[in-house]
Amino acid sequence: MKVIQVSNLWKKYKEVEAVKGISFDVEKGTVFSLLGPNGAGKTTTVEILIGVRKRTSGEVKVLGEDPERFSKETKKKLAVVFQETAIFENLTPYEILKFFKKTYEGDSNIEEILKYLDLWNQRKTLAKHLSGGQRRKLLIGTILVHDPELIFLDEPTTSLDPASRRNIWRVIQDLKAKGKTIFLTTHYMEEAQELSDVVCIMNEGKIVTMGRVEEVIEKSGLKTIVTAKLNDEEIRIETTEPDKVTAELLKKGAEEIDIRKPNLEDVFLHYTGRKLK
Amino acid sequence: MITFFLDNYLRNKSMLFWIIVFPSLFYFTFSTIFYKLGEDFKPELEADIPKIFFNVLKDHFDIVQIRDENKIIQDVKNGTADCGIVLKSGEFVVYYTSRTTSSIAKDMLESFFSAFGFGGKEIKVEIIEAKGKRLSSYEYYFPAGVLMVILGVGFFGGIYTEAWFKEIGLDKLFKILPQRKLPIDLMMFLSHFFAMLISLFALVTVSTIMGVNVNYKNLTFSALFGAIIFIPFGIGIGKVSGKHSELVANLLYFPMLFLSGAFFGVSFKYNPATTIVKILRGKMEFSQIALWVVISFAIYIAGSAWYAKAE
Ligand SMILES: Nc1ncnc2c1ncn2[C@@H]1O[C@H](COP(=O)(O)OP(=O)(O)O)[C@@H](O)[C@H]1O
Ligand SMILES: [Mg+2]
Repeated sequence: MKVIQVSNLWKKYKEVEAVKGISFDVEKGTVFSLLGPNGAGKTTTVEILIGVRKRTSGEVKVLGEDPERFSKETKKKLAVVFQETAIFENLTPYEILKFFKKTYEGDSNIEEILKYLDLWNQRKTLAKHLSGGQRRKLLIGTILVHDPELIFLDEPTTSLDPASRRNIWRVIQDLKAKGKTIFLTTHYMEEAQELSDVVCIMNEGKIVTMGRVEEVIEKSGLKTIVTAKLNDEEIRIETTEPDKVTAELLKKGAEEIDIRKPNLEDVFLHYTGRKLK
Repeated sequence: MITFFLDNYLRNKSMLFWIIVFPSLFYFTFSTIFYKLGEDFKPELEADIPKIFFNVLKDHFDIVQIRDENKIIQDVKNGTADCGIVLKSGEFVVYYTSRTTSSIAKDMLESFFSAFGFGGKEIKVEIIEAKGKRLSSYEYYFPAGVLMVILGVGFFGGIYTEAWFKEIGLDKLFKILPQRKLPIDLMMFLSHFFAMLISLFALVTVSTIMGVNVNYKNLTFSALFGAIIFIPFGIGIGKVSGKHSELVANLLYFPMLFLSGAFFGVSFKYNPATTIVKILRGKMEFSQIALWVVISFAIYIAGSAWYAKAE
């Protein structure tokens, strides 16, 4: 079953064309990642899908409805963690979760959520005094108070330390195990690789390539990546004959030679000629 | 639900300062510095005083010109006129009594005369009868304090909170919430209204200590209409003003406050704040109130429509 259907979506701000005719579907129970650098149009896409922004043109259906005219019932089936970590600054995590629980008429146990997210000790701290990682965890908590079908996470781990990032990955994996559909945006290649069923690489408002992670790599035609250090310069070579390349590099006196399989970062570079970050 | 909003709002220490400490402090200081000033009043002007003065004054006061100096003095004494002005051997003489309205009228005229520099003539002030209680400055400035609360908490607060929510992106969150009983804007309204009531409570406490006999009926009406007029007005503007909210709020707040007639006798007709001051002084003008309510809601609706369309 298709939870999200997007066809030829365009979004034009006053000066910028942020999204230029993208189309994709998201199947129920999958993790769909939109991977792309800053300014690719990820947030714009998410905000159109959740109904806080109007599209310029194109067809969009989310849970069978047009996001610009969501019913209250459909809104209750959605959960969103925005990229901006805006929240009531002067409320505590406990109170904030209570607010969401009431708003969504959820029946979860707030104490359990706080413990699960490792926020129990901060339950009485005002949100404005939380660290970046705790704040994100609290925002993730707001989507656990009810039982959403479809979850949007817009760069949920950006600017977090590796430990906090792992924590959030764990929550996402738990949600996935419960059969939730998750729409994730990220500019971390590892994140998309680790979590996604389907990855959709986006650049400058367009979809570059899309599919299962292995599929995407396969489709790119990349075989092997050889990296090395030559005269103190990082070099990176795409090749189908790694042995030959390695031998040549050794001859030239290269160091730290590494031969590996291509990853999503390589795919991105392959299509766009630029790095993800 | 409203309690979440109110808690979030009132736990902000700087907000508490602006809501409670600032209006009371300002009210107290202002009242102490300017211990006397005026409201609407009726002066009488001697007929010998050049026409131009009369013309200027009649725009602002309910003034009449009379031939006889003795009649002027008599009218001021028995209260038909609040004060009188006579041109006497090259200087203006202002007659007044210590009746509240009379002494306020005197102050007003005096300041007018000095402001307009009428022919460089000296102004001499003569009290012709001393009886009755003088209006204390605390009583006089009480409406100013109330107005400051209504404008500060309701109007300024409305603009500022709305714009700030938008700036940090909280408005997006509100859009996706499956709302239950109350729409978000109504919650915003109520939380500002409650904050306003808290603020007024602090002000009334200070005033009562300073001996002001608060008229609770007038106060209730002005708080109610003040909220209905100014909060939607503020929220409407907040939706449009975005980053410039503070500037926009100041640009509207201070002129409205100072042209309200609460501090000086100058009341600007086309000013919703004047309506509130009048209510506080016991003059309910329902047509005026209705007009401002309509205008305020029109601004609110226009702001919301703009916001819904804007990218
Ligand atoms: N509200 C807006 N008004 C005008 N331009 C915008 C707005 N939001 C985003 N943009 C522009 O649209 C492009 C895509 O932005 P965004 O969707 O935020 O990308 P991402 O989330 O992938 O970083 C950028 O060039 C950005 O500057
Ligand atoms: Mg973004």
